[in-house]
Amino acid sequence: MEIVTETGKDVKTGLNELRPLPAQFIKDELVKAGVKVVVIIPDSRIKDLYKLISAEKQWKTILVAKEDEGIGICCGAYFGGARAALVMANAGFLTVGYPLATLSMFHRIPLFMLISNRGTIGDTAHFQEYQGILTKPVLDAMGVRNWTVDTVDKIHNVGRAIEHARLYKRPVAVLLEDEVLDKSEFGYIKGGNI
Amino acid sequence: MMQRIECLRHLASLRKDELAITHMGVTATEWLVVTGDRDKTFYMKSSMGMVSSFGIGLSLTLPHRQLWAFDGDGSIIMNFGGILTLAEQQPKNMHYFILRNYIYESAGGQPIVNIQKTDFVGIAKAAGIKNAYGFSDLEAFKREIGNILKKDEFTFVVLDVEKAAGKYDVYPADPIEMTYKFGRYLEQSEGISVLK
Repeated sequence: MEIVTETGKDVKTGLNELRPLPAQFIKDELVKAGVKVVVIIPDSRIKDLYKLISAEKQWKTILVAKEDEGIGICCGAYFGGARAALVMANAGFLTVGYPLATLSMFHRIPLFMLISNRGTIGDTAHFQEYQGILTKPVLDAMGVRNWTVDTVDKIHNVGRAIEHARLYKRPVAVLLEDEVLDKSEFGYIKGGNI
Repeated sequence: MMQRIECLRHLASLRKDELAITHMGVTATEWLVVTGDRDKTFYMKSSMGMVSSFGIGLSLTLPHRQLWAFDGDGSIIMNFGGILTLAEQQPKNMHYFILRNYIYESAGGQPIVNIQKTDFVGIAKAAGIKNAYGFSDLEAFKREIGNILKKDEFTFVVLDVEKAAGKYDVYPADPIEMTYKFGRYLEQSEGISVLK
């Protein structure tokens, strides 16, 4: 399988080297967790992840018209004994409040949301201002446990969050930010040694 | 227009081990009245519009089990884009029914937007759903539904029904109890791990 790479500067040695994209590691976490159903809605800073997810054979990738369908699909898949993931932008998350509360929470069905947290640090999409401001507070207010993954060394929390959802029988979210999102010139404000 | 409970009663008489899901509202109560089923049916007690989506998730992960999904017209339009997802997936083991009563019955009988003009069968066909049928006569429904359900293909059936004549005393179980009962039934009958 072809590993998609980017050229980056290794922080410790200062040498230029080829390394896999963060999206590759994120996808690998879903594979390791045994995910069998992925509902994904496109976002301009998870283009790499979208390509990798669509090409993966371990799961069925389902396209939907709107993100709240993903809540229904993932909850239905739970009863088929399958792990599922709903991958979307934070704008999409802001539309799913109703089924999240009345299907996942009310019926106590585990749910895993992988959310690209646009409009936060390092993102040039200033028009996503409110998505960036509101997403974490809304998750916290709803009691949805959420963890921010903004560097490559935190990506292992993706798989751990999937297990957390199942153990605790709750909806959870991983917020992808900053360095783990696509670094195309349009989307990303460079910082530090990267 | 048909009596909804008679349509559900007829389907219950044909039922072998098909799983069922229903939207909230009087459909859920009437299905419970005619089947007494608290194990093989998941009554979506609160979320309008989620029947089509939940049904897709369930039928794709249990491809050898037949699934009957009962939705309402007020409910389907809350997830109108879901018709496109149904049209793309068309799970072979899923049979999707709209119990079309033209009103928000549980909320007090208020009218649904554009409901007299909306042609759900036409919309389904226009979205590319091959097997889309509409029934407003009970005898025709009873005559043909058996053959429709035998198809090894996704079917989309719209039933024109009246609102319930009276009120019922029973109501499907507590939501968490429902998750455990449905989950445990599937664990036992399918040998899968659901609630762990």
